[in-house]
Amino acid sequence: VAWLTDRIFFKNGYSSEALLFDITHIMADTIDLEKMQKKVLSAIMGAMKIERGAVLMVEGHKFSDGNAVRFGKNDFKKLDPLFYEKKLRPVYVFDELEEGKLKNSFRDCGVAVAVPVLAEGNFIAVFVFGQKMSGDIYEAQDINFLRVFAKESGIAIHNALSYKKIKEFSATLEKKVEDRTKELRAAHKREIEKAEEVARLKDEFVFIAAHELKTPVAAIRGFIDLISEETKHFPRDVKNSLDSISMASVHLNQLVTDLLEVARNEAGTIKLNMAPHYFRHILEIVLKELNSLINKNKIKIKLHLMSDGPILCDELKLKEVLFNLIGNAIKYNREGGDIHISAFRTPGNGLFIIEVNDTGYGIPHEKQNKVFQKFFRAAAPGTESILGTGLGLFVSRMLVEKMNGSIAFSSVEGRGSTFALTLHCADTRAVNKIIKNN
Amino acid sequence: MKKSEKRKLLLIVEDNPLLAGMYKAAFERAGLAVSVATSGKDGLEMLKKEKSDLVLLDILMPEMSGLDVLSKIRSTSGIKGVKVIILTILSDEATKKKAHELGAADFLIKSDLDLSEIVDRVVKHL
Repeated sequence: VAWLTDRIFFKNGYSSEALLFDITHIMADTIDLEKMQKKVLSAIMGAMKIERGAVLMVEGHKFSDGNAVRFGKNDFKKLDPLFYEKKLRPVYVFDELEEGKLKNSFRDCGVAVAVPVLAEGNFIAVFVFGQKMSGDIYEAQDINFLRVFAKESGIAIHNALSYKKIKEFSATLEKKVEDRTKELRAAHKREIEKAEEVARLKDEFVFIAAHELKTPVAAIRGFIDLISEETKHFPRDVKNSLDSISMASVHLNQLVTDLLEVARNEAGTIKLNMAPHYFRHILEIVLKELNSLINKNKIKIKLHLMSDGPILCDELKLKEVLFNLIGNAIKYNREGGDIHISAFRTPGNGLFIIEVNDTGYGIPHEKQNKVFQKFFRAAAPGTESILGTGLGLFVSRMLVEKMNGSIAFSSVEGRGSTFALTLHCADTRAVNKIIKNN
Repeated sequence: MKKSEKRKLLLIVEDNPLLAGMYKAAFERAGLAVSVATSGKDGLEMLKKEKSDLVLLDILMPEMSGLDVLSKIRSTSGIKGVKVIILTILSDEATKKKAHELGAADFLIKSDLDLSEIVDRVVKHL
């Protein structure tokens, strides 16, 4: 038996078993289709001493450009008659083919043997081989081997092909995801830039509008001031008219200031400069600014300052808020009324409370829920003639909230109102640090 | 010479002619000699010629802003030491800080002060 197998299997100088073992190994170890094709081709061609060979993949009803090894530039399209075979044979040998289209195409391409590869009944590839280097014919051992090989290689090639397709698909998908992500990022960036530009233009517009409005107001106030020294020579009704112009200009100026704050808040461009400030200092400046109004209405200011802070706030914004609250307390007070201003720290939680209490008209109960709305005007009896913008409390709450604080009030009609601001104390150590750094 | 020592010379740099005229009238009434420039460039030229005691400087002006004028003053020999008071409609902290860094003696906001208060604040610096 050993002698017989030797005669059959070693006639060409290779062991079919060993070659099959090699090829099985290659196919099991190599997942990359092209590498696998090359390795398998060279194993077979090496063992059988074949001068050239190629693997042609089938796509649709065509051979796609195969992995030709030493086959030159053959036009493998000529092998198309293989597709018209009723039932594919495992191996086609040129010498055994009957004359016809298929034999002619084998001849044209220089193909001696063709091994179609099937997977799940589908024709997926074909191995083609040229002449042997020696010019010998293909032996029975070769043909038998290729018959076995054709059967075994189908599923391996099919898997490698699937793997290749999955890899390509995954790469395409990754690329698509990446491209789309880039697009989205770019679009998002454009949106943000657009929004920022709109906010900037809005802010610029508000800024210019406010400046253009305030300049003539300053001129009106200035010229009234300029002639006020002469008013003693004016008749009483002219004096009254001048007073009214003056009041209207102050009102207009306040309105522009408030509208500027509202517009900046809506554009998101309010900038705060939060730092520790002592309350008494800020209060004194505000009271000084309101001094003429206080004197005119004969208001008595009573201070109850239990603490001086320091408060963490924006100095200008807190001034604006106090100007509004104390201004209201004066305007909506009775002539000769009192204003109590208290300030104290709450023990433990580091809050600073400022209360402004007046003895004025108060806010009617049914209107109290609208106090902080835009353009709210208290219409308690007696207050009809008082000039106001209707924005003071709205702006005050907005600014206090920007400073991480809150504002609340209580009011009894006919007896007065109390507005309470809650802000945060600036930690003493933090204050020292800021002072040192400056 | 003696006469000029008595009457202090104020230069107002203000592009709005209405306001410029108003401030001029108010300061003349307060006893100052007042000249007016309606642009930053003119202001600098006049300052070099006139040796003003004090400059009242607007910020928002076309071509050359008040802050540009102030920084130019500070780097020009002969006038770099002159006292400058900013009189503007701008009330933001950044502008105020910039003016302070450039050595402005005071920062007044037009719309927040009465004319008499503006005059008082300026005269105090003379």
